[in-house]
Formats: sequence, structure tokens, C-alpha cells
Amino acid sequence: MTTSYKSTNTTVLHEGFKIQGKWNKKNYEIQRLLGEGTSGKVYLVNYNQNVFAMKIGLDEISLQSEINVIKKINKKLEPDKKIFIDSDDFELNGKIYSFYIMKYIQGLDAKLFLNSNGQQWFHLVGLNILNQLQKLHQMNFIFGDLKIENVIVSEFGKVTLIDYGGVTPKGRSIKQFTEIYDRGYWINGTRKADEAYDIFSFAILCLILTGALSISNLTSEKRSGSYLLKRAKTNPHCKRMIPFLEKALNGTFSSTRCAREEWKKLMYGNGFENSNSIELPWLKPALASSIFVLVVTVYFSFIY
Amino acid sequence: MVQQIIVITDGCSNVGLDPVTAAAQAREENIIVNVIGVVDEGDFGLRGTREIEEMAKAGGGLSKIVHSKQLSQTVQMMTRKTVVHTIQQVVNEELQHIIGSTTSLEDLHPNQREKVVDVIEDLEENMLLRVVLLVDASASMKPKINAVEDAVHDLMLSLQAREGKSEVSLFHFPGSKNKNEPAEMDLDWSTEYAIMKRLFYKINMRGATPTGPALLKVIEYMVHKHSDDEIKRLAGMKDVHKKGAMLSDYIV
Repeated sequence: MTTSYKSTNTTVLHEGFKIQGKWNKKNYEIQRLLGEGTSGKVYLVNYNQNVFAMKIGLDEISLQSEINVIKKINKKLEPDKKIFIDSDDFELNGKIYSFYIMKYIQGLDAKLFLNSNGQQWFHLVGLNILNQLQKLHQMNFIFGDLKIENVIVSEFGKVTLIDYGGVTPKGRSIKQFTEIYDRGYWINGTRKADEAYDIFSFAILCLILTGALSISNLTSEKRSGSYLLKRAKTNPHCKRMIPFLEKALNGTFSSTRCAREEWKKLMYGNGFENSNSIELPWLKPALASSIFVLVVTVYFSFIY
Repeated sequence: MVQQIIVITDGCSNVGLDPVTAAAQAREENIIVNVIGVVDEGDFGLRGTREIEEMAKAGGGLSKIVHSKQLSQTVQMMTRKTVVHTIQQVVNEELQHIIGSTTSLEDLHPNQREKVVDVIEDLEENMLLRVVLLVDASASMKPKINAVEDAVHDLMLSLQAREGKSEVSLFHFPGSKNKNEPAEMDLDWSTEYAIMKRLFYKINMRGATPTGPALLKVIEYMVHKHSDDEIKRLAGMKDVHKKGAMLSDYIV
């Protein structure tokens, strides 16, 4: 039940810094800092002439807990799709740091991806996020801390979820969450790990990605499911997905599979009709090209 | 079992026993005292901050200072954080019994560590949790009380989601019905969320801030007053000890 927050550890390892694991004796070389998560820093490292991601934790127990989850997931993946490589410790200035090594995924976070590739990717990226959630749910885990920063989108809208700090076995209390994506924060349900919890966060993610909801100027009076739905209804990009968002926010999908089916159904709905109904004056000159883009999107969607 | 008191105050007590002494007494009774300080900027706030920090130190817990400007969300976050910290603290003590006080997690091979952390998480999720929220409802807290109420609701939500049992009770101080009561109970041991709604409407803002005496009253309550379920549990204490022994065998 902890909240995600940015770490305050300021030590940054520089390029070329060499790390040898205390237990497994593997050698890694730091390339650069990739990012800073809730519970530590992630670096790009070289190992055996390949690049990998290394997460160095701030807190031993939460890092190990993350490793435990990743290893459990890893066991269920196909041999060529394994994500976990190694976990170990190293010493620096008398202090011991624990880390783990994972497959490195190149891509942008969901918001950056849509900003640079266009909003027309939104539906496909959404579907791919739901696919990833469904896979995780089938393993009896709930992602927990689903948010824009934790969704990495690679070419053709391929989605990878990163940061497993919030991953919780079904039925337990959500391990880690970010308030704005939290069902409890919106007074719309519990903090128990069930499939609908992730689907709720996914709906919030959609609202933020389309610009229907902005993180700033949120006051407690606005905290309700009906406020969220109102925001969705006033946004042209959300329009087609309203039936989905309504169920997702109210927790009425019986499973992630159902949610995914509904999303898909709406996604392939009458695209032309919908693009015409976006009534924004600045869009009119661009309408012809947007129809073209839509056709391309649908084409892509069928392939991947 | 984890027992803790969360005091939400601006830290400016002015009547009776020193709250730091009362907090130290709580620690002796195996109750951890966490303090959320909701303070204003300026000298008054500074004095409050000192009292808040010392109270938490004496009570073996955490103190978190929130400035009135950033209120609601932060009080919630801090309240949750102190609860999690206390659970981890107690589990860690338990762990030291099991792996020995000279061994730390980093001395263990990563494979062993994996099993230990699984057990830690089970304990964290399932251990019985008893939390008393003690809310300063003196006049100076008036502008902050809505944020405190939000935080109480939010905490209940988090506790309810646990697989293990969480019992929560709520007090405010000074007493609003009887002037001689240092603290008044708003909610007896409960696992229900619904009862908590609009609880603070009852609070009557008055001048005196008897933090020490209020804390003392809550300690007495925690030690002597148990919920019906808890009474049953205490009666079955021997079984619990047996379970504890099994757990140790499992890890070693």
C-alpha cells in the first residue's frame, strides 16, 4: 500500500564504471542512466558484448520482492522470451547495493510515443497494453502501478510493461500504486488486487493519454467516478471508447478478457463515421489526411 | 501482531504530561508511536516540529512533517507510509529472531534471500494489525481537519485491502463532551469502513491541547480493551506460539 514516489538517492554511476557481482561474479559495465523509478535507478549496461538493463535498488527487501515476482513470471515465459538474467550485490564506498539484470527494451513511454508518432496509434497501443495485462492476470498477478511511465512502446506500437514494484498476487493488497491511477483515490473501489483494479488504472491512463484528464489542479471535491466519466465524454479522442471507459471506471468488466474484447470491438467499429464526428474546426483541413492515416492504422492493426 | 498509534497534530501541546514521556511509555507496552505533524510555517510551527520529532523518537516510530499548504494528499501518503514502515519494523524484529541478530539480509545468498523475502511479505500481509488514530482537534487544527479526515478514510481503505486482519480505532483530543476527558473515542475497534464516514462532524474545537494525557489514555485503551475477535485470539495464544515455531523451522 505504498505510494510511488521519486527516489532521493543522488549517487549516479558514470559511464565505464565496472561492477562485478559479489555472488555470481559476472562483470558489467555501465553505459548510461536510463531512468529513475520508484525504488531505484535503472542503467544500461554491457555484458558479454550485449546491452542489458540493470536496476539498482534503494531498499533490499523491495528489490528482492521485485526479483521474486520477475523470476516467477520468467519461469512461465518461452525460452526465447525470458526477461530475467541475473541478480547480485556489489560494494561501493563501504555500502552494499543489490541489483538485478533484465532484458533491455528500446522504446518510448506511452505519452512520448503518441506525441512523436501521432494519436492514431492510441487504440492499438491501448489494445497491446490490455494484452500484456491479460497475460499477467493469467499468471494470477495484478500489475498494480500501471501508469504512463511504466508503459514502454517500441516500433509498431509493441508494448512492454516495466517496473514490477507494484506487481501483487491476486487477492492481496496492492503493493505500490500512484494516487491518480488508484481506484481508492477516486473513491471508486478497494485497494485489493483484482483484475478490475488494473483495468481502472488503464482507463485513467487512457484519459491522460488523450488529454481528457490532466494531473495538475486536481482537488478532492473532484474525486469521483462520475467526474472522470464527464471528462471522458468531453474529449473527442475518448468518444469512441466511452462504453469501454464507463465499464472500466465502474469496475463492471467481469474479466480482463472481456475488457479486451470490448476494446477491440470499439476499435474496429465504424471508423469513418467516428472520424467525421470529431467536431473541431482545426481538424477540418486535416480531415482528408486523417482518414488516410486511419486506414493505415487499421491496416497495421490487422497485421500485428 | 503490530500495534501502533498514529498521532496527527500540529505539535503544540499545552496541558499535562509531556507527550514525549507518554510516547516512551507506549514503546514499553510494545506499541509504536508514529506522528504526522501538520504544521504552519514560522516559530509556532518550529516549536511544534520539535515536539513531533521527539515524540516519534521516544515512541520508536516515524515522524512526518506536512506543511499546511500541501495538505490532503500528503497527509494520506505519510499516514500510509508510517503504517507500512511500522509493519516492516516489526517483521524485521521477527526476522532477526529467525536468522540471528548478527546476520542481515545482504549476508544471505540471493537464492536464500528470495525465500526470506517471500516469508516477510506473507507476514506483512497477514499479521494482525491494531491501529489507533489519535487526532488533534484543538482550535489550531481547525483549517486542517478536512485533510485529516480524508487521510483517515484513505488509511482505512488501504488497511481493509490486506488479507490479514486490521483493527482500527479512532480518538480525538481534547474531549468534546466532558471537559475533564483528555481524549474521546469516536470509533471502537472496527474493521468496517462505512462507519467512518463523516465522523469528524462531532468534533468540537476548543483551546487546550492535552497531547500527553490523550496519548496515555489511548495506551491504556490499547492494553486493556480488546475487540471480541481479539479476546478469542488471546484465548488461543498457545496455538499462535506453535505456529511461530513452525515458521522458524521453515526458514532455517
